[in-house]
Amino acid sequence: MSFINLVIYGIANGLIYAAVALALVLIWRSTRIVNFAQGGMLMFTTFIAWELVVKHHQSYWLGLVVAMAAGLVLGGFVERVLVRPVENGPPLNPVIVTLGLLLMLEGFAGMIWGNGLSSFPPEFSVNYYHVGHQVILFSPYFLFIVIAVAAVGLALYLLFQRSPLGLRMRASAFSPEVARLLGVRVGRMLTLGWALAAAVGALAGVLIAGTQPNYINPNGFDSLLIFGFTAAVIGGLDSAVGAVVGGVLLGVALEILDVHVSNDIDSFFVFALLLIVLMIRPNGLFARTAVRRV
Amino acid sequence: MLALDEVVTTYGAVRALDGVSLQVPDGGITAVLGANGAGKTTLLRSINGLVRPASGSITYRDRDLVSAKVEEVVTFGIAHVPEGRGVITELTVEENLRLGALWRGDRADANAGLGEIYAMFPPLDERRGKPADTLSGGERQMLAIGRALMSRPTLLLLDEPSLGLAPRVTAQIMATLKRLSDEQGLTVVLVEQNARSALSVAATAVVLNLGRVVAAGDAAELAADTKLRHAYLGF
Amino acid sequence: MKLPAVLTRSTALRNLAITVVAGLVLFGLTEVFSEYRNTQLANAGINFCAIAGLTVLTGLSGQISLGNGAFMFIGAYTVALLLKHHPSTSNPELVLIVVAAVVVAAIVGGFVGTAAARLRGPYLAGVTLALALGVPVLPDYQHLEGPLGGHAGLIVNAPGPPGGTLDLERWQAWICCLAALVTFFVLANLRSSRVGRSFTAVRDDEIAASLAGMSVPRIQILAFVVSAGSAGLAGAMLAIIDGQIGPQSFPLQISLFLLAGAVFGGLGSMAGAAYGAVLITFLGGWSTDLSNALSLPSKVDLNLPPAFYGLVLIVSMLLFPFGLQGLVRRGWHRVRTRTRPVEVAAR
Repeated sequence: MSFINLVIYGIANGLIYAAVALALVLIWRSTRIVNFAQGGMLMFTTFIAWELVVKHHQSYWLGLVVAMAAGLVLGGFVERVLVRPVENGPPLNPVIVTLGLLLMLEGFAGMIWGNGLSSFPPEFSVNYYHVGHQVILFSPYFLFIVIAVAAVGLALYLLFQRSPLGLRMRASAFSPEVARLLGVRVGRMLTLGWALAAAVGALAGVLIAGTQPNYINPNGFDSLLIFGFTAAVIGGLDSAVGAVVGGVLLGVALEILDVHVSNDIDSFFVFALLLIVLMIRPNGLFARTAVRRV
Repeated sequence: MLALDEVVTTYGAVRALDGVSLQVPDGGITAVLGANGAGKTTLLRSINGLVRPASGSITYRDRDLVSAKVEEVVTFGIAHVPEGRGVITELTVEENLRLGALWRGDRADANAGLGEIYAMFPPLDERRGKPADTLSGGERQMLAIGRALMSRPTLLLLDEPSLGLAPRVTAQIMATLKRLSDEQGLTVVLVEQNARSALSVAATAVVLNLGRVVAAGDAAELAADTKLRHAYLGF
Repeated sequence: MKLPAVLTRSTALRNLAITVVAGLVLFGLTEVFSEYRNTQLANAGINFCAIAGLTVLTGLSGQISLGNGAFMFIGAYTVALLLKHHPSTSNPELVLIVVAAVVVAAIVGGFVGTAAARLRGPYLAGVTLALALGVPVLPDYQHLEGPLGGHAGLIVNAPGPPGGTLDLERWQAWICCLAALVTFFVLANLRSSRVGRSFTAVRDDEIAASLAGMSVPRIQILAFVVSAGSAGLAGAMLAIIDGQIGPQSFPLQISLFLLAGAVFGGLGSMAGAAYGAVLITFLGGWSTDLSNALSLPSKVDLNLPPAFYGLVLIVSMLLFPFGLQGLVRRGWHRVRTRTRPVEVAAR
């Protein structure tokens, strides 16, 4: 496979990891928690979309919108009810709570939909484009992935950097006490952060389900969480831009691994990569070097 | 008018405020003085709800502050400039300022306010789009005050604005505060360890020691009382 | 009940006494249990080994690891591979093989622990989660497929009970309980030793510990090694009693179940590890019974355990952070203070 094709394919998948990484970064920045349930949450919302689109023959777009809306609700609920009580205590507690949520979601999904494998084919063609005789490993579906993730990224950027609500959310994340003195309802901003993150994750779940048949399964999204976490760590947990760059780099790296070494050991490679990155550059490529001074 | 009545605030076993009663008349600058640990910062934090008094009442213009949520207090017209300025360094100067006006939800008013603040503090105008961590100490104090003013308060609480600032800069800040108070009728509660500079602009003064009020009244009279100054104010 | 003075003074002796008594009780149980129950008892012993190691790591040294499934995998595969290459093993040799499995798991644990020595909280959780997902895919790798048996896994040819006259399930329950008892004895003594105290010192205040001369990374790595070795032992025993293992034998959920068991029982406590082992061993059976009674489809009873363990983790963190053993201790304390006669101060 030519190098260009490899990169293209890697970028398309990498953008999905980037979306998951973005969701994790959003939550980390606002509440300093890694949401280990993210994989479970996006699994659940993807199942909901699948139920609508594949089982009940509704429009793919409706499924996508419902998945993201379900993500909003789920994310907001989880922060307000499960995470709020442990947000300010020892850092181990939110880890355990989110892991518990992961188990619960996997259990419930299994009870509702069973443990078999299901397919969620996308609305767009997955046939690769041709340029003359040359096949480019890019399909209309990949184009959709790129556009969808880019659109979400742009929307988040506009929200955070250019809107009053985004200003409130950033202030709540950087200096919650000062923000409260200025009239910002910090609690609500944190809930909103989790809700948005879950919506972004929901998009990632539906996107990745379309990349291969038989992807959907209650335990099938665990590796997506780790890929997203690794991408976020590569870029730096504090950086949204880093999440996207990390995702793309990871996607390309995995593609190189798949083509030149083996298709079957992605998870092991990611583990090794994560460990190495945390050993040499734990703050990621885009670490904020400035210490927060008042 | 801001009124405190027998306020007791505790941190665990420590009584940071041990039955504080005082009244701050509208308009004019009231200095709150005393040594470190006298309870000055706790006083301000009790007023805006960052800590809850164990007993006693705090009211501003007949609104009860003890039961109010921290986020609500700014809607009563009270703005707080915390100790250490509270400038959010990850945001730009302009973003910090805009944050102050957000609760009003009035963009036109916010823009007008920005204009006023930039006119009042030209160094901020020069650095509008820069991150706030590029500002010097004095400029950060201007930013913090400007941000507080953006919320169009009637009562401004300042916690040790002169901390870490050169005397000349401190004098400028104090002069600005006096001008604001005189021209706009802003009530200012100024907590300071630097008693001399605070008394030079204040109309009334309150002296705290170990969580109790030991003196209150006209600032000029307090400044003239050398025994008091030696005992509690260090000069 | 007043214990003989020698037992109250020496923790090691007390632990030995507990081990012996527990051993006798367990032996008695194996005599009366049915084959099904003995198999469950064997599994409980295995789970105890894994949970006890995890509870020491997380409860005592404050490090969270979701990678115990991977170390069980390593222990299991070590046993399977060694037995494959030494087909006619006697039981004493089996002990050596199990020890080898523990050592291999501990060594890998040492590597991972060293690499992760500076990681805390969510970062460590993430890395160990990645480990739990990453190790089981190795047999699928084409160059390892042959030796590791690929996707189908390996048959484990363990020697049966000596003499051939013993019930297989009784024998399995014995050896697993023996493993559990050994684990208990070692870990309980470790807990109360200087090493165990250094674990808690580092957990509570790293800076203070290092100022007191402790090497924080070395202590944390040691805790990691202990936990990996215990999990390796669990995996080794599992391979022996199951007779076969494969990449799908140790999914991520196993690591999460172990954590749920440890949290439920009470982090850092050996009794807690026992409660947790009982929970995760018997819940599967109970939920099947329940759903059969209510005529629910099998997908419900299959997934009731993860949903329940998830609930346990969440509820424990929100309401009972000290687990069942914490409640037991609090109850015991209340009973003791109420029944002790009140002494009137002499005037």
